[in-house]
Amino acid sequence: MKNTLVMCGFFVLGVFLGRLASLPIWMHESELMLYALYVLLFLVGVGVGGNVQAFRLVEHIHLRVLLVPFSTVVGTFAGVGILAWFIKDWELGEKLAVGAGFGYYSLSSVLITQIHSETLGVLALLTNITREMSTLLLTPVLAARFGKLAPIVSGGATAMDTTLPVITKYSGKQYAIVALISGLVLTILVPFLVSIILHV
Amino acid sequence: MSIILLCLLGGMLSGWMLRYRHSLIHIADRLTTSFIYLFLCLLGVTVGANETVMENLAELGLQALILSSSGIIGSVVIACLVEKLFFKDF
Repeated sequence: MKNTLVMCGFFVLGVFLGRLASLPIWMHESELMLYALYVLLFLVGVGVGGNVQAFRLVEHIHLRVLLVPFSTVVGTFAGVGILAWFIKDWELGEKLAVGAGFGYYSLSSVLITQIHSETLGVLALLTNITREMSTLLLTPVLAARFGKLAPIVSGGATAMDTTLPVITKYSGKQYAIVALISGLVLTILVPFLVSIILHV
Repeated sequence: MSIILLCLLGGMLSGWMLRYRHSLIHIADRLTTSFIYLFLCLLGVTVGANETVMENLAELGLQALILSSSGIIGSVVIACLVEKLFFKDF
C-alpha cells in the first residue's frame, strides 16, 4: 500500500512538472528512454530468475495450482473482450493489452507507453492501479461470496506482494502459497503477453 | 518485441545463474524499484505536457474503471468454476 502511494506520488509529481515547465526533449522523446526500458526489463528478469524462494515453491506445486493464473488470463481477456465491448475508442487488442497488466501497473504502463502510446500507457496505469485497489477493498466480499480463489484471481500479478496479506487473511493461510505462485506466473507473463498482443 | 523479450530472458538467465549471490540480486531489485520510480515520473511529465491526455483524463479514468471491473468479473467467474471442479478438496 505504501509502495503504491509512493509510485503514484512519483507519477503525480511528474504530471505537475510536465504542466509547469517544458523539459528537455531527451527526457521524453528519445532513444535513451527505450534503452532505459531494456535495462529495466533486464533487471526485472534478474529479480525473477534470482528469486530462490519462488523456485523452491515451484518444486512442490500441484499442476492444478497453475489453473489459477490460467483462470486469471482467460477470465480477464474474456471479461475485457465481452463486458467492455462498448468502449469504441480502442481496438480489441489495445484493450486486451491493458488488461494483460493483471494489476502490475508499473511495468505494464511503462511498456505500453514505449511500444504503443502515452495515452494507452496512462490507461494501463489507471486500469491496473484500480485493479489492485479494488482487490484490496473487495477481498472480504469476494472470499465470502465467490470462493477462496476469487481474491487471488482478482489480484492477478499483485497476489504475490501487495495484495498477499489481505488475501491470506480472508482466503486462509493454505491459499497464501497458491496466491504466491499465481502472482509469480502472472508477473512473468505480463511483459510477454503485453508485447506479443501489441505486435500482432 | 524481440529485443524486449530478449532483455527479459537474458535477465532471467543471469538472475538464475547469480541466484545464490544474494547481495547482487538485492541490488538488482533495488535498481528495478528506482528505475520504475524514474519511469513513472517521466510518464507523468509526458502526460502533464500532453494536452490530449490531460483533456481526456476523466474519460480515461472511466474507461479504466470499466476495464478493471471487466477483468475482475471475468476472472472471478472462471475461478468459481475452477474452484468447484478442481479445488473441492483443497
